[in-house]
Amino acid sequence: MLEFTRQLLDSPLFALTLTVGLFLGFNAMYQRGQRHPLLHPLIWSSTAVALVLKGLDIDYRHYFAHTEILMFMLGPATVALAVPLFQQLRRIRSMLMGTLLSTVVGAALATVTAVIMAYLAGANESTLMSLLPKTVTTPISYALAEELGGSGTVAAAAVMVTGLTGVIFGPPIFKWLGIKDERVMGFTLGVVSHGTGTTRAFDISPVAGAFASLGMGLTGAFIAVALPLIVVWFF
Amino acid sequence: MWLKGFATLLLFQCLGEILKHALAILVPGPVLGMFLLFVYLVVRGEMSEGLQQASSPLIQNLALLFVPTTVGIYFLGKGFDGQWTAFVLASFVGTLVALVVVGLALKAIIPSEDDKHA
Repeated sequence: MLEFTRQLLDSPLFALTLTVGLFLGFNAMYQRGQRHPLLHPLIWSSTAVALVLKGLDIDYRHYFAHTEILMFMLGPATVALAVPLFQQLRRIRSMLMGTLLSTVVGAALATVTAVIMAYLAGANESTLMSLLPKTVTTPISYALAEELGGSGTVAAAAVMVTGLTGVIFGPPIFKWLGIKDERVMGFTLGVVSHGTGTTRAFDISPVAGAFASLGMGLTGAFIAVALPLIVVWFF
Repeated sequence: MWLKGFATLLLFQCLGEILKHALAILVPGPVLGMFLLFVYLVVRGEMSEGLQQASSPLIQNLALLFVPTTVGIYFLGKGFDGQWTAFVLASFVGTLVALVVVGLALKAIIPSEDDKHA
């Protein structure tokens, strides 16, 4: 009996039931709480999953391997972002040059601030290299960090903290800055906080979501091409 | 027919991976796939119902797909001691600064829609 319990706990079935179940529960709470950023389901479901893993003594690497299908679905989900982009085509076309310029400026500023902060706080070279690609989505930053001599795990964690910070603090900061344009809100969330920020932008409006997808995609492309070149140049 | 739409998404992801390999760049295949699908839709000028049906649930539940990686923040391990201040400063404070700077920059760059209607 004990062995069966152990087997079940260390299986994709349990890992997925736990993850999807907790996510649904916390998502209901988020919807009931008028989508307050602090109630975002990503924060609470991942914390709850971590607690369960620690409590039941389940290895995180096993859990990660068991939930691989969710990572896989991130692929088609990213491709699917072309749909809202297409639906907002008319609004995007009128400001194409503006968005391209904003991406380069935004992505560069976001990366530079992160590196300066880390450097001042005494990060070693491995951490520094892991923090560089934090404004882009997990799979790409993982590959980039390893390529640049950093740690993929630290990079993935930095990406998630970056995403969550945008999710929680994006909307109040926009309010504080007097930004009411949904396109600016969405685009900023996409550039600074990649896919996680994009999920938040879709909560604001479909327009914000489309601009977040665009910002995320352009930033990913720009960082992936520019970062290795810049690192080779300076270090 | 949502399955057809889902197949379209997978197909474009494949095309993205092929393009990535051909160009030998680090941009992820799915991101390239997104741009390819976007170009395809623009050229075609319309979108199938299946694609719409397959895309909406994926986009609506995008946050779920990030849960396993986010859990990893709690399991960074001992080798990371002493790097926490740098990590938090860059990831958290750096992002706050970036939100303000990028938000203001975009506000200045992107022309307001209200101006056009006025």
